[in-house]
Amino acid sequence: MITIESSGGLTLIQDRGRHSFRQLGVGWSGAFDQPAASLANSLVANDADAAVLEVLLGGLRFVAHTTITLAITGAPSGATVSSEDSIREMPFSQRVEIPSGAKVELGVPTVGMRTYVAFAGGIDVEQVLGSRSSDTLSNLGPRPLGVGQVLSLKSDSAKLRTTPPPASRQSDRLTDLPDINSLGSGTTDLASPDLVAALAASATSLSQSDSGTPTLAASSSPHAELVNGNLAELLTKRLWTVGDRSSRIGVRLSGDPLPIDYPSSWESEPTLPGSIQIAPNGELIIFGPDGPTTGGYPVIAVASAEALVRLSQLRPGSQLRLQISA
Amino acid sequence: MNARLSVARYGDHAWLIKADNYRAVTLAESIRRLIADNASLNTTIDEVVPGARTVLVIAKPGTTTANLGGAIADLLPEVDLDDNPETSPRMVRLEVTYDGADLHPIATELGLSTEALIRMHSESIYEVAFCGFAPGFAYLTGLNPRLHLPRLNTPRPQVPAGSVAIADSYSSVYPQASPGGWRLLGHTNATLFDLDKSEPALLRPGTQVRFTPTGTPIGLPEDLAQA
Repeated sequence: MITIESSGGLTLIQDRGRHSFRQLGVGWSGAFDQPAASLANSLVANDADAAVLEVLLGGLRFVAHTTITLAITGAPSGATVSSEDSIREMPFSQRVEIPSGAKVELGVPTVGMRTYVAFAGGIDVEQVLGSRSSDTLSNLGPRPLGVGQVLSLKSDSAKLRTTPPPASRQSDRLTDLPDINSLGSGTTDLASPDLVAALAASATSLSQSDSGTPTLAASSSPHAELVNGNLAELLTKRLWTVGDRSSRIGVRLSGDPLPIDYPSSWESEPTLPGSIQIAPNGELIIFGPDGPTTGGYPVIAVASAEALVRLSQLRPGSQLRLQISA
Repeated sequence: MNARLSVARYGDHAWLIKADNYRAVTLAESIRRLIADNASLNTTIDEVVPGARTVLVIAKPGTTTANLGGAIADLLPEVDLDDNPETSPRMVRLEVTYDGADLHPIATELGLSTEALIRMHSESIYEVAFCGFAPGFAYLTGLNPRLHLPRLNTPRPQVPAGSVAIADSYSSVYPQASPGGWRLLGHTNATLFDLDKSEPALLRPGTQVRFTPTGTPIGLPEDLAQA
């Protein structure tokens, strides 16, 4: 059990999302940076479906009421653990056990937007339509965390299943991966294939955040023909800037408007996270995990799953390129 | 017979089928039945979602999608766009109190009495073409063309739950309080979206809907609302 003392920019409970209800107007939701959330869960030996905290731009602070095991991943935010007589840095992308009474505080990330905190056993909140994700568009699922809120953890009641670590193998396979300094001697199976895959996948989401302009892959949609000219070529010449009003619902990109015969009316069409809509003012809107299930503006392209992960960590003002992949 | 149907890739995990002049909800139902009969597609497709003129076929997350586009294209010649005679449509009747904020302004704009406007809205049989905007928000086709009016220029910051509204060629009911730009004719006390039910949405694609002004005698038993 933990008590929230500060909820930072915005702290949401997220899991892998709410699937199979789009035809009823219910979006997927779920962690925006899935590989980071998945890595956090793997580090504490959780099921892939366990719910984690998604913290926007740091600032989360909570007190543990029992001994808890957790891992922090995603945007590196410099966390500390403090107890009565000590304060120390909390390692990133590692499994860490903290004592009852200790306080964890996340700083502001140096790069990226969203930091993930997984607790061994997962967060114990009720599922809504098969998911514990907080949907900021429809308000389904748990509300954003507030100050004073007490969160139950599944480890509160159940003794976790533990497996002895295959210590001889873990260092062979993991030492050359980023963000892993010393993996400690936890009780997790650290060499599990799931964890290795999660580490590799999460390593890509922030890799270019502070070095050069990222290029995000998308495939053209059937409505790319609305654009006058070759969409792929037109995009190679354009630089897009992430707008201030971007959110989990949609990330807004401004740039030199694409030449388009904008339709006077447009019938609503089913959409997905990754759908790239063109608004009447030329702005592009890439739907995030909480994006609506249908859209009334033309979708000219669809961002790849990897592109969406990169987008989850790009701050307003960041620049990016879009590239149409075959 | 379905030469006009075409399928195109829509991102990494979905395919968009253009229905052209066909009803997207009928196309979606037919595709759903064909997928259910195809063991391989049945395990890889998560959902078939209709829009106004298109249908999106979405693969389950993490599935290998290399050959899925071809497999979906192979279904198209078998698509049956006639209404399935074996299944009579699900019918929901909603009792409406016509007291919406835009009732009188619309009547004035169209040169109608409010009684005539209420009659025009309540005598049609509607069908849920698709859902969107919010959980359980159904786009109902069948609105009398005289009532096709654009949305408000400035959306209201808060529209009450249960509001019965019109915009463009659609009617709908707001399942929960939310901002909204549709024009409000009245309200219903029915619960449109109930998480405690196995089918949470009262109105889902294909459902037929009738609006009955409050105080009007209820129709035949088979027309009664069923959740």
